Amino acid sequence: MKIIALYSLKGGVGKTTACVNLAYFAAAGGARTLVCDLDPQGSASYFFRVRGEKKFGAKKLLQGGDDFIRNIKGTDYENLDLLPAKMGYRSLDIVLHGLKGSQKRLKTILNKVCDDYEYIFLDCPPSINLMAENVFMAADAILVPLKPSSLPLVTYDKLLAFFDKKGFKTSSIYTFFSMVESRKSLHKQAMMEMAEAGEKRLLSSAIPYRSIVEKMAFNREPLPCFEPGKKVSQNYEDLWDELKNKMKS
Amino acid sequence: MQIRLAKPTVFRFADDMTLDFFEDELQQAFPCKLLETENVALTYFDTFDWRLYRNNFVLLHNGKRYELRTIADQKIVAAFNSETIVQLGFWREFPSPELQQILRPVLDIRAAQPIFVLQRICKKYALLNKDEKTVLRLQLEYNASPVASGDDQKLCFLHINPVRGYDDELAKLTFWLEKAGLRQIASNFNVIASQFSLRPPGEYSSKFNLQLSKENSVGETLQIIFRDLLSVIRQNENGVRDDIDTEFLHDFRVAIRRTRSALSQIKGVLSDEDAAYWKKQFSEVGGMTNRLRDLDVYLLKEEDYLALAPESLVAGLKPVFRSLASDRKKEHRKIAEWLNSEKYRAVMREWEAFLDKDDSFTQGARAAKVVQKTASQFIYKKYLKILRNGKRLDARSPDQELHDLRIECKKLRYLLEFFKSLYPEKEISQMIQQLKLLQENLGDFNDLYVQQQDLARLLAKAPENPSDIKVSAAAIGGLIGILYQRQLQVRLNFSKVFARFGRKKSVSMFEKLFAA
Repeated sequence: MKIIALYSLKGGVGKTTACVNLAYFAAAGGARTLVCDLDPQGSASYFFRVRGEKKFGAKKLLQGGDDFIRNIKGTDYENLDLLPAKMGYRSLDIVLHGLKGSQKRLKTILNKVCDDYEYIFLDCPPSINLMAENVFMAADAILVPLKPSSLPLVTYDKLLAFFDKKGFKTSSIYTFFSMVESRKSLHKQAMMEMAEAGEKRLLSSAIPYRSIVEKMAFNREPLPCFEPGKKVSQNYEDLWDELKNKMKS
Repeated sequence: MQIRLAKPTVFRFADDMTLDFFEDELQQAFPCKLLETENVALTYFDTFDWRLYRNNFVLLHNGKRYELRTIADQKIVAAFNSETIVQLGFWREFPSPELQQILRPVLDIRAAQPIFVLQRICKKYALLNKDEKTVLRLQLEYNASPVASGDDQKLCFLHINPVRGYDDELAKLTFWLEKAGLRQIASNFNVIASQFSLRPPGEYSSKFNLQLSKENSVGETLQIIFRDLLSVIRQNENGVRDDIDTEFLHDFRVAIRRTRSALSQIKGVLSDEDAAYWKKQFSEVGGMTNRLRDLDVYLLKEEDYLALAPESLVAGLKPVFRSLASDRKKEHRKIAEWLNSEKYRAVMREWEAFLDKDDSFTQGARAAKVVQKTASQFIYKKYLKILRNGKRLDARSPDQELHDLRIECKKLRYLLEFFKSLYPEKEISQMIQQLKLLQENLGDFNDLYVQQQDLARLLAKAPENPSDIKVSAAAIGGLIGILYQRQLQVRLNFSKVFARFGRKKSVSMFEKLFAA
């Protein structure tokens, strides 16, 4: 079992769409896959049209009983399951602070289903707190989408600094350019700079900015389901293949 | 994981319900979406003795690919794309290593053949909730014979594949289906096979398994036994003639041997003349196929022999087997002609007529007696003889005596199997099991002996190319040596095995069951 966290300190960088589409390709390739929607906004759950049970929230999740497993739902796609988000997750951090072994809690919980899934994707809320530390502890790969303008690059550097300070391994971090507008010179320049800096964690596959990606929220399904022939669907598939191979080596 | 997930289920339509009607009703009761419709011709495979079925497998070809599924939940175990349909398939002949690996222990030396074909229309539906999310996956299945016929051969099923986390929806649908008159069944294969296959699934087995009645006389019972054996002979004729696999001939011969054994062991039922006449007839019929069976056995052992021989001698054995294979071809042609011959057919017709005449079985002095007591007498007498003869044997006894004991054991085995159903199942199975262990030891001894003889005979049958002769002779000589060593080892074990067979506990069990 490999755990892949989609994480960004900044919102609106295409994190959830990447999570949904990558998980879709993982499952379509025949691997049992689970998406955990940890973001109280619940965008991933919305894309998959899944609602959580009423009596489930941060506490039930973190206690780590069978409630967590019982709340996993099958999506419309073979091999792909989802743990839907709950508004209650906004108190995840508060609940965590009151628990023993608070940094490893998420890892322990996910281990319960390690035999059932080959890949677990975590769609994380944009914040840097104890919950985020749990994600960093648990994940085999932390995938950070970067919008190629200066501010996201600054937050990316901050993330690396945070890892160093806390003693997390930066080797599990991967990043890719997201929402790229190739006409914008600012984007081009930012991408060039990062490439020149020889950033090892940067994946070569990039996701362009396309309005059809936004249509996912309207259609409520992964992009390859309604636009299988579009280039951008292919971009997501390439990104998945690249990440998958990186994790193997 | 601790959570129990709902499993796929299958429902059968009520006989008078059509697919169209059901679809209308379903669409009115539940929001759903038709995903795809498939129309495929399916070919189902199995061996003559249903080895796939008995191992809970279904092997089918759908025009594009082979699928090996489990009967119970229809899960695909292995699949491979291939548009051509294997007409006759030993495990080796299925062109997928994955499939071969699974089929090998199941099919063993038997060939899988097409057993029936059908035309299937398959409609896949998704049941949706208010978010238009799929909460259940359904598959409607309409099966019909590809050959249009007067009898309305249609079978409809509904498969439900639950989606995790939507158990309430599953319960709701199940309740609705039951109200609509659909019935949940364990597997649709049994229903389909019973309707479309010419032979009921699982019906044929090479094991002798006949339910006898304690009330019948010895005469009536023998008649039933002979009829059953005749049906086995008849059922295997086509397979022998068409050379589907070597087990047809084997089963054919075993049924004849059992017939002969019953003729000579269950005495005092037929008139003496009849008994003598039929013994002679069946001895001839059985003898006809000896040579073909011998050749089958050689060739079946080819791999073993080649594995046994030192590598330097393997090349010497290969021409011998090539020559045997060509002999077998000729011999099979001879037997196929013989099975079609008026001579063979006349004997079988005459035997059939003899079995249909009730007074054939009232001539002898024992014929009218109640079966069980007489059966017990036959069995017990044979058992005592084996005990007596076996006790005299040890590691130095001549081969012939071990051979004779093996024959007696086989006779006892047949008797026990004929009359098995008259005795308590648990006890009789235990006894057969004990006898089986003894037979295995004696059988191994005999096989090793026969193989040495066979190989020596092969020496005489030298390959045509004289330069091969020396190498082949050396190879065969080497093999004989190895087999002889093994035979000595088996013989050393005999005393131990026989002591177990003849220990007090099992003797008193035999006494209790058959000497009372």
